Amino acid sequence: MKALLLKDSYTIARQMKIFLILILFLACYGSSMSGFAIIYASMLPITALAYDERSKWNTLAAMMPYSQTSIVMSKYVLGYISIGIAAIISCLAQIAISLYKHTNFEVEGILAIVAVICIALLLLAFTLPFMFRFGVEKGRIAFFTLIAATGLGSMVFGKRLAALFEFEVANTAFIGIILVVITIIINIVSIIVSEKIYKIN
Amino acid sequence: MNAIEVKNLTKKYTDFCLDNIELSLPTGSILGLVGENGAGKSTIINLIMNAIMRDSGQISVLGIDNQSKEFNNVKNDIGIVLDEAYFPEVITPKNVNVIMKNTYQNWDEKLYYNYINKFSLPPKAFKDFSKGMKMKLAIAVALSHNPKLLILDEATSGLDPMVRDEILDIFNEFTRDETHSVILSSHIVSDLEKICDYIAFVHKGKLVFCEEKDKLIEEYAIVKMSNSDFEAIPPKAIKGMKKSKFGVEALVLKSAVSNAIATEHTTLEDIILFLAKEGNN
Repeated sequence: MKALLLKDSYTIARQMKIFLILILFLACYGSSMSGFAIIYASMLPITALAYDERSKWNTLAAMMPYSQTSIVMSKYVLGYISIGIAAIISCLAQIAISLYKHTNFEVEGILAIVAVICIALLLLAFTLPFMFRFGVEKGRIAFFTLIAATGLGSMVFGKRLAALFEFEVANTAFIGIILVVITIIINIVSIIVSEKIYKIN
Repeated sequence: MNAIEVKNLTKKYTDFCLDNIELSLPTGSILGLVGENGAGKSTIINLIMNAIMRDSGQISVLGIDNQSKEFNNVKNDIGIVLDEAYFPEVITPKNVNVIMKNTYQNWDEKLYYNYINKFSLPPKAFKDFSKGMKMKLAIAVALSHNPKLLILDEATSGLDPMVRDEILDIFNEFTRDETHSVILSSHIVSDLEKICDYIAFVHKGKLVFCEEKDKLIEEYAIVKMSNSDFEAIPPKAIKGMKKSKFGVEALVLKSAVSNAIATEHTTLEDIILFLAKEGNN
């Protein structure tokens, strides 16, 4: 899998540079803006897949000693690494900013980043099976539909759901744990589904 | 031992069927897979590498069933060159070295750079390479992990005759080691005639023959005669023919025609063209 990750890092090196500038730039505007950088990170595996499709890399990869599992997993791992880097840089940037401005470092900011990481991981988990099944062009449509639906859904049902479960500030930690657990489960399911799809294709 | 053994191989698509293919590649030899575009050559190669699932049949490569778990490890001993190099367009030969070092257990960096220098490949992005350079990079990769078997799918098509000749020489040199074998698919019969020991002819998804090249050329002959003289040729000897108002040109089995009949030496191209034409009728 290391070879596949190296190959992806070479192909998306230019995007990675833009990505790092974007994180640093957005991090300066606070935690809410740095969230966009983390979400953007979840799209990097799609860019790598697009390059693979354009060069028909998978035709060659199928003949090389890569297992189907490692081909599929490499895209998830690329996403996890990108999201991880974006999150670490966002946290460090916010700490640096609070030190520079002599303001109190807000723990809520870090919690917000954890929530955004989970959302980015969920987006990755929902999108990659579509990409493996339909290819990047149609997969991108699925990705943006998902973002739009999530945004619209949270606007329409967010308050109602919160009221339904009577979420309170005291429950923040509990909600956080639930979100992390759900994220992990959905990612595991997504990997299994993607592997099955890749084998059928 | 055979480097590749294919038995009763069948793969069905909605508009194409690869039907009951049976062929073998003895270790130390070169097998040419010939056939028109769309005959099923690439499908056979994909099936040999288990890149696509077969419907039925058996395939063993270097003594291992290609659907077994061990086959992924066997791929370390197989060098592959396809009709295009299929490397991502932004990567350079240096990047390829790093990727392949982490791909193949037997990757030989020194050997790889020897090939890069031998082929005069520049240290620029793959997208800036000519078609010939791209194929040379793919060949450098295929040869730099000390493979026992080379699988080449239309590796010489689209190249100019000089580059093709240079590449064929490299493949020929590869088989000087008697543990090395090559399967080479092409629709350029002259390339196959130059280097192959065995020829498998695939036509419309069916294997017409898989035979030793020299035996084939020895077995068949061409006769050119008038329509009336042609009637003396036994029908079982005729494997293909072209009739015109000037007479008949036919591919015949030498052993089935009388020594009194004048025959001409045939080429692999003649054999394939006549048999393909006969198969279409």
